[in-house]
Amino acid sequence: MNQPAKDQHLPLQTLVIPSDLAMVSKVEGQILQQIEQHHYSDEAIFAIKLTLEEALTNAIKHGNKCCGDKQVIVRFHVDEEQFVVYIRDEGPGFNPDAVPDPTSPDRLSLPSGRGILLMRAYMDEVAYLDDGRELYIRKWNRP
Amino acid sequence: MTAPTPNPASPGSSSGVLTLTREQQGDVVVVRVRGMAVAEMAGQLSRALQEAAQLQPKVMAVDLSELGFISSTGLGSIVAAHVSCQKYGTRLFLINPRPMIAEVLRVTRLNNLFKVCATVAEAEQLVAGGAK
Repeated sequence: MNQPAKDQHLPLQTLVIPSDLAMVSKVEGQILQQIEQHHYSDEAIFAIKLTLEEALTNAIKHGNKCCGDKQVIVRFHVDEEQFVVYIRDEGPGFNPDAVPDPTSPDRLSLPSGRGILLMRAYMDEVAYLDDGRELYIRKWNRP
Repeated sequence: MTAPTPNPASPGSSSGVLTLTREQQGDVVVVRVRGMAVAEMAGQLSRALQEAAQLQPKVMAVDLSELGFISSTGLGSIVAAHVSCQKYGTRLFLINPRPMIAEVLRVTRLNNLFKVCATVAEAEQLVAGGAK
């Protein structure tokens, strides 16, 4: 699994979940509990919850196709300065640059396709690794 | 010792609680969406909004004043309801979203698709006044 050199020193906690949307709130709950303990702002908590929701839903639905025997691996670090998470699925990967812009006028009335936009808008760093199979996210805890 | 009551509308809450209620008064249908519109609840939200749209009122007001969280899936449910309303000639309005929800609408530029009003009465006045 990938871990950028700048993050090699960060201790990561690992959660492994089945491809079941009911698990999303459980992962969020476990991570957000630690976020709240480190006194992140309400806006940052909202942003992290939104990003986890989008990333985990994408991994389960689009990556693993809700396949019962595929898992999602979540590795994360939280401290008073930053939140870092890696979310890996067992799908074939994808090219995030090929995802159309959901804010273009001809796509505004479509019901889906806004998850990546939201993650990029609310997080400080978002990158796809290993041909789109793993998502890396960082959010700094700024006052 | 009594545990504090969790606030389902708190952004930090991991609860997937979503409460939906519907009222109809004449040509106006109000759907109140309370709590957390997470992906797991998207089917419930979609059904409620589509059922309201199928009543084909003149005005459909989706009250977001007690909505604490919405994901892209929840947004998709509202967009789909908007498309249905257009088909029926119904005007859909979003009522009084909290600042963090309004920001999600701005980031996704859905504030260009939906008309946002402070109150249901304001939405009714806009329709009565013939506003586009």
